[in-house]
Order: sequence, then C-alpha cells, then structure tokens
Amino acid sequence: MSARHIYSVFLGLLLCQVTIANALPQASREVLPNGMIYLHVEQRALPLVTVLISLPAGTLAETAQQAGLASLTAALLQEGTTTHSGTELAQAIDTLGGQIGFDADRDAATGYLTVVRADLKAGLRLLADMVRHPTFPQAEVARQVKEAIGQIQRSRQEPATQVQVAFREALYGKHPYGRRVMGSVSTLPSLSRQDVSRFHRDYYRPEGAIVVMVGDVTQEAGKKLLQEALAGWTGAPQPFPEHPEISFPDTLEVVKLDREVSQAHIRFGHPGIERNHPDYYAVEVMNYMLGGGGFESRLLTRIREERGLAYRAWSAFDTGLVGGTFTAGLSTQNATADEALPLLFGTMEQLQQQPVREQELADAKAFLVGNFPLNLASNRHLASIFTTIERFELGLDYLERFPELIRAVTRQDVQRVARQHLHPNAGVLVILADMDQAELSGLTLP
Amino acid sequence: LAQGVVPTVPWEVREETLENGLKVLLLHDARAPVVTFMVWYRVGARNERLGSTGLAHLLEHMMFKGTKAYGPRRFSHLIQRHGGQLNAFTGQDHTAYYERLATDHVEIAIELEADRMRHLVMEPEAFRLERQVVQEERRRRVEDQPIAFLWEQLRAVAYQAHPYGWPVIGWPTDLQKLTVEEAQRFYDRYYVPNNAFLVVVGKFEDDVILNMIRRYFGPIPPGRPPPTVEAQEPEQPGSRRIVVQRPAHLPYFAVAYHVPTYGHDDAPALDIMADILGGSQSARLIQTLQRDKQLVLSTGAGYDGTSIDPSLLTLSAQPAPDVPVAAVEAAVWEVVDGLKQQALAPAELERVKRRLTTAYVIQLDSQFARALALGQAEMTQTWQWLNDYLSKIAAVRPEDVQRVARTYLRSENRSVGILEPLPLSDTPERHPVGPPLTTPPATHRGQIP
Repeated sequence: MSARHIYSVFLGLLLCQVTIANALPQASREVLPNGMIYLHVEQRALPLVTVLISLPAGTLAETAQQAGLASLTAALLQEGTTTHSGTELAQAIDTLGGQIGFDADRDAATGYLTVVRADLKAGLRLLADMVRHPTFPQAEVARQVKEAIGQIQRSRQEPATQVQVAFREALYGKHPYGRRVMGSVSTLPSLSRQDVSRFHRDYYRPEGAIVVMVGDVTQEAGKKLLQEALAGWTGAPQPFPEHPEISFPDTLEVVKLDREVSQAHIRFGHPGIERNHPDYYAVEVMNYMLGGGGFESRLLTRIREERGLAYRAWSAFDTGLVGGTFTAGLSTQNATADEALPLLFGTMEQLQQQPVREQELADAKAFLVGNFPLNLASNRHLASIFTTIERFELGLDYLERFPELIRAVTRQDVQRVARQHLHPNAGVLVILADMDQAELSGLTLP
Repeated sequence: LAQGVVPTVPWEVREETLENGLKVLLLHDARAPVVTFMVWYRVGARNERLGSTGLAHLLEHMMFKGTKAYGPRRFSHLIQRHGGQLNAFTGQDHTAYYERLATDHVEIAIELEADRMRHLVMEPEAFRLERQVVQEERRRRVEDQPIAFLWEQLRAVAYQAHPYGWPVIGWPTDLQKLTVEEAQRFYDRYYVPNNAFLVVVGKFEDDVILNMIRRYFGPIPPGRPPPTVEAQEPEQPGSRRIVVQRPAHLPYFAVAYHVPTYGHDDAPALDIMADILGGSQSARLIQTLQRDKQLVLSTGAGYDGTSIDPSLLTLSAQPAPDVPVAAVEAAVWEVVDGLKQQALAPAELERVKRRLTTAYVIQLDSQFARALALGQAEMTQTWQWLNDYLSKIAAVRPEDVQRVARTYLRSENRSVGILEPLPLSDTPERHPVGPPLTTPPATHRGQIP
C-alpha cells in the first residue's frame, strides 16, 4: 500500500479480446501422455517466459459447506512442500524474482510463472514442487483460515466489495457462483487440513489441465522442461460435486443495504449468456454500446457526460464455465441515486426498443476489431487469451476468425440480443446507500 | 535452486527536440504493430495553490471536453473508432495523456493531442458537470474508503510547507468552488510545448512518426516558461501522530518517513531497504508480523523515488481482528530497529538485488509499463537514469542499507497514522418489488443448465 495516489480520467482500460490478420501469434497444441493439454507460443523478442497452468480446482469444485476450500488450498501450496518450508519457498520465489504462485477463482485454480528465460527450469521445478508435494502444515492452515476471516471482516468496510458480494448472493443463492471465492465466516472455521489434502488429491490432477507457455523458448525445449518437472504426475480429477441449478429471477428483486456512506453504490444484473452461445459476439457489440465502451457507451454518456452524476457507469457480460452473468453498475452521491437509477434502466430499455444507428454499430465493430492487436503485445496477455481459447474450445484459429465474427453482427442482431439477453424487469438490484439521504421511496422501477 | 544470469536489456531511446522546446522520446518495441503515445505535461498538484487544490486533475478531465476543431466527445470517439484505448492520469508532478492504438492509426492520436495542447474549449456548464464527476470520484476513492482517507490525512501531516501534503484529487471544499476561469489560466500557463514532452513506444518508423509530430506539434508556439515551485519542506523536528476516526471494521496502521528521491545517492539503498522491509513474501515485516507473530492480515513498505521534490517511505499494517494496534506498532518498530542495529546478511541482500533486477526486466513485457517508466524517469530525472538504475542497485553494500536505515528511519522523521474504527451497521434488508415478468422470452429460460 502506497501513500501516493494517481488519479485517472477513466477507471480501468477497456476490456476486449479481438483480432487483426496481421502477423498473429501462432500457438501449437499437444496432449501430453498424462493428459495435460500443452499450448505453446514462441515469442523471442524478450528474454522472458510466462507459464499458466489451469486446473479444475476453483469454487465449482467445492460443496456449499466447503466454501473457501479452493482458495485456501491454492494459497497453501505456497506454504510448504516435502522439501521446502513456507519461508524457504517464499525466499526461493523471491530469488527468482518473477511472479510464481497459485490462485483460485470460481472456475479454476491457476498456477502462474513469469521468469527470465535462464530461470525457466528452476521456476518450473518450483511450481511443480508446489502443485505435487504440498504438505499443508497444520499451523499454516490455521493461519490462512484466520487471515481469510479477517479479510472478509475488513471487506465489510469497502462499499464496492459489499455491493458485489450482496449482488452475487442474491442472484445465485446456493450455487457456487453466489459465493465469495475466499469463503465465508461460517464455513472457513470448519475447514480442516484433511479437507485441504483431499481437495488437492481430487482436483490437482494433470488430465485435462491446460498449460500455456509463452515466450523465449521453443516448443520442444519448453515441453522437455515441463515434462522433466512434472515427471510421474498422473491421474484425472474428480467430477465437480452436484450444485443447485442457476435459476433466473422472475421479477426485479431489490436488496437494500443501509450504510453510512457518502455515495450510493448500485448493481443490477441477471444470469447472462454462455461463452459458446451463438449470440456471444452480437452481445459483445451490444454491450460495447450499452456500457462496455467507456466514453463511447450510452451509460457513461448519459450518466456522466450529460449529467455529471457518476465517475463510472458500466455494464459487462462475464462468462464462466457453467454460465455467464450480466452486470451493470454505477455509484453516485446518495441524493442523486433516484435520478441515476432510471437512466440505468432506461438505457437498457432503449436498446431493446429502438434499433441502433448504422454509424454507432459501425463504430462499435471498428473498435472491437481494431483494438485486437493491443491485447496480443505481451506474453502475459497471450497466455491468458490462449487459456480462454482452450477452456471454451474456441479453436487455435480463433484469433484469425474473430474479426469476421464481429463484422457479421447487424443492427437487427443488436436489437434482438438486447431483447433476448437484457432483462431490466427480471434481475437483482442491489443498492448500498445511506437510505435516509437516498430517498428512494418515490422511485418507479421497471 | 540453480539460477541463471539475468540478462540486461538496455533502453535504446532516441531523443529529439522540436524548435518550440517539445522533447520527443522514441523507443522501439517490435512485438506487435501497436504504438503507445503519451504526452507528459510538467504540471501536477505540486503547481497548485491552497484554495485551488484539485485543479490540475480537474483540468485533466476537461481535456476530453473538446476544442475549436473537434467538439465535445470527438476525442474519445475518434480514438475508439480507430480501435484505440485512451486515458490520462494526474500525479503530484505530472499530468499525462495517452493513446494506445495500431501503428496504422497513430496519426489521429498525434493530431488530436497537438490540437488540445493549445485549443481546448472550456464551457462553464461542462466545467460544472465535470467538477461534479470529480466529486463523485473523490467520494468513491477517498470518502468511503477509510484506509485511503487515513493516507490522505497522514500526507497532510507529514508535509506542512510543501504541496505534496494535499491530495491530487483536491480537498472537498476546494472541489466545490474551483472555477472555469482559474482552470483556463492554469491551462494557458502550463500547457505549452516547452513544458511538455512526448513518449512513443511501439513498432514504428522513426521518420514517419517524427514527421507527423513535427507537422502537428511543430507550429505550436512556445509559451513563457511556467513559474517554478519554490516550496521546500523543512526538516521534521520530531515525531507526529494522528488518529483518524471513520466507520470501519478494523483499525489500520500507517507510517511515513521523509526520504530523498532518485536524484539522491541514497536512493538505491532506500529501494533495497523498502523491499527488504515489505516488498515481497519473504520480506521482514511479512515474515515477522504476518507469518511468525500472526499480528496482521497484511503488511508492506513502499518507496517511490520518482518525484521531483523529496518523497516518503511508507510502512503499513492491517492488524488482524482482536489484535491491538499497539502490539502491531511495537512489532513494526522492532523490525525497523533490527535494520539499524545489524547489517544485512549478504545472502538476503543478494536475494533482493536479484529480485529487483528480474522485476525490472519483467516489466518490459508490458508496452504501457515501458512508456510509463520512460515518462516518469524523464519527468523527474532524465530517461538515461533507466540505464544506470541496475548498476546502482548492484553497487549497494550491506552497510549502505544500515546507514540509510539509521539516517531516515528515525522517530523524529516519522509521522504515524492510526485508523480508529467507528461502528458500522450492516444488516441487509430485502424488498422484492416490481411486477413479475409475465411473458418471459422463450429463449430466456434454459440457456443455462
């Protein structure tokens, strides 16, 4: 945490994943004898290598009673192996200097490694040691549980986190997508070392794991180092436990959180389309116009540029392994929440009711296509894009195909997907505000 | 673990200066046909006056509001329809604007940036709305963030005579009354080619880029040299301490020491010291407070030497629930004293040096990070400093770290800030409202299993 702050005119870079036909990076794909899927992209310009290993060991692999287990397990891989203590691992990681470790999200656990070329062998050995021979010392399990509980407690003072947590809970209920990845104060204390060991045994298996290596190494040399590091690692992961179905809200459910804050935080959303849905690209284009396109989006134009009500106003379609989520949000001072909310819903409804102008569509498509090379310039981005390509089986020619997928979207498509995939009157609306000042009683919602 | 040699990647920067004083720095990154184009103005919160804090940042927002040639919203529209990304950022010393786009389209960014260097149109109504937007930004980033609020207060205590004491985003009372007239004066005074420089990183041909830059920026006449900032923070005469009360669940502990910037000979040792204290998982604060004593949920140290005037070295700790701040504070001082009392073991120093060296190479993976590093170096030193940095780090000896610890980590030189939580209520209520969705579209259900 630094005391120095830098302020930006617009929070965050625009998110997109797109393409041009100009000198696209080529990946090779090979299934290794232990069932690991190995993608390799050679990039010789810098003496660096990035590796991502993706395993089916995220929140989806937990039961509801085990909430937080995936995240706990990933964190504990760095806290001791049969040959290194946690402190020794930390020192070894720091000596290599790059980024080495494990993280869990809702869909997967990811091992990551970025090192200078000369350290690739040592880095892979370290990563392999953590994934294959963790010891999960009891004291470290207890410490990590305690820290996670403390972090959850602290996050209650962060309005943006609270509104997101409440939104997910209300939308997904007992499905794993409704939980915090880090777990909850009720489940964490009951998680034991045995739970962690068993979870590791069941889900940290090579069969079907996705390994993407990008950087200053040939496919053959990279594969050899990978296989040396992981020699003898075999087996398939267990299937995910049964989860409740994701149900769509029938009405608009409103969750109000009354807090002593200067700004009302607003989230609206509902389940969104899956990554492999044929409408995915039309939805990308539609969402750019709605709230994904920064200054070009309608939400930011109306709420910020025309009325000065908020710093951010946005929308996004996220896609997970078992379904997607549509979310839109903004924050504005308590007193203007009632002015901003109708604009949020009205903007969605307008996209459903009126066809977009041809020029607006052309501009959106031009951005999505033209922005592509920006995301292919770094090893880190490439590793992440190819992980997504493999996870959703988009095909190694995806980068070449992308521009056509976007260019094919018509005005009719945009209106159709706005009607089909936006539901302003059937979703979850979370409002965190100082309710005395917010005066939301007179508000008419969809 | 067998480690390889960390390769050195020199910064091969080409430097040109236009007749109007605008300096241009060019750096090649041929990995993809993409360019990061930045305009850095030598003006930030440091150049403001009390009563008008936040002006530099608000002006940064206004720079997107249109010029005589390109009306409101045209800037972002033209960049984005060419597939480009754009943003800007304001700090204590600088205001910088950037576009990232395909090399084929870089001309539009150059033209638009040159245009708004001198031809901005600030309409009073647009100014009023944007001032509201910045107030929302402040609420979001500071007012409702107890830890950010604490840091803001701590800076204000650490600096008494220098503008680094006020927040870049501005004090809330100033934000309510900044005027379009003072923004215009600020713009006219500081937004001139001789008070700016350009950074271009990416895949391009030098001649092509330089010709475009000369065509669009060349005709802009130089301005009078902007006034210099004379404020100087006197040596701190004794330790300072504040308690900030805000609604929160957990307390927080923060410390700031006055330290010099990268222009000073002690800077490399300060970088190493900050890293040893809190820069990585094996750092001393983390090892002692978090792993061994389990007093904190997180802890760290920060030193940013890229500023014009003397900077701060900060320490921070998030106490674990039920751990008194006093216990955390005592443990922090113990770690700090350890650095003063005993010279570093060579192995610990070597580990940190290698870590910093590798991290330096790894940041090159991001074209944006390269452009940012180049801009920051040029803003506060010269870009050549980037090529000297690693050899300076390599030359640091254990006794240097001990010396800077004794010189700067003195209690008389520090300001301590403690966040004292006021109670928060947080029970959700639920109100299902609105009519049921009577006719769900056929495809609506069943999309997701």
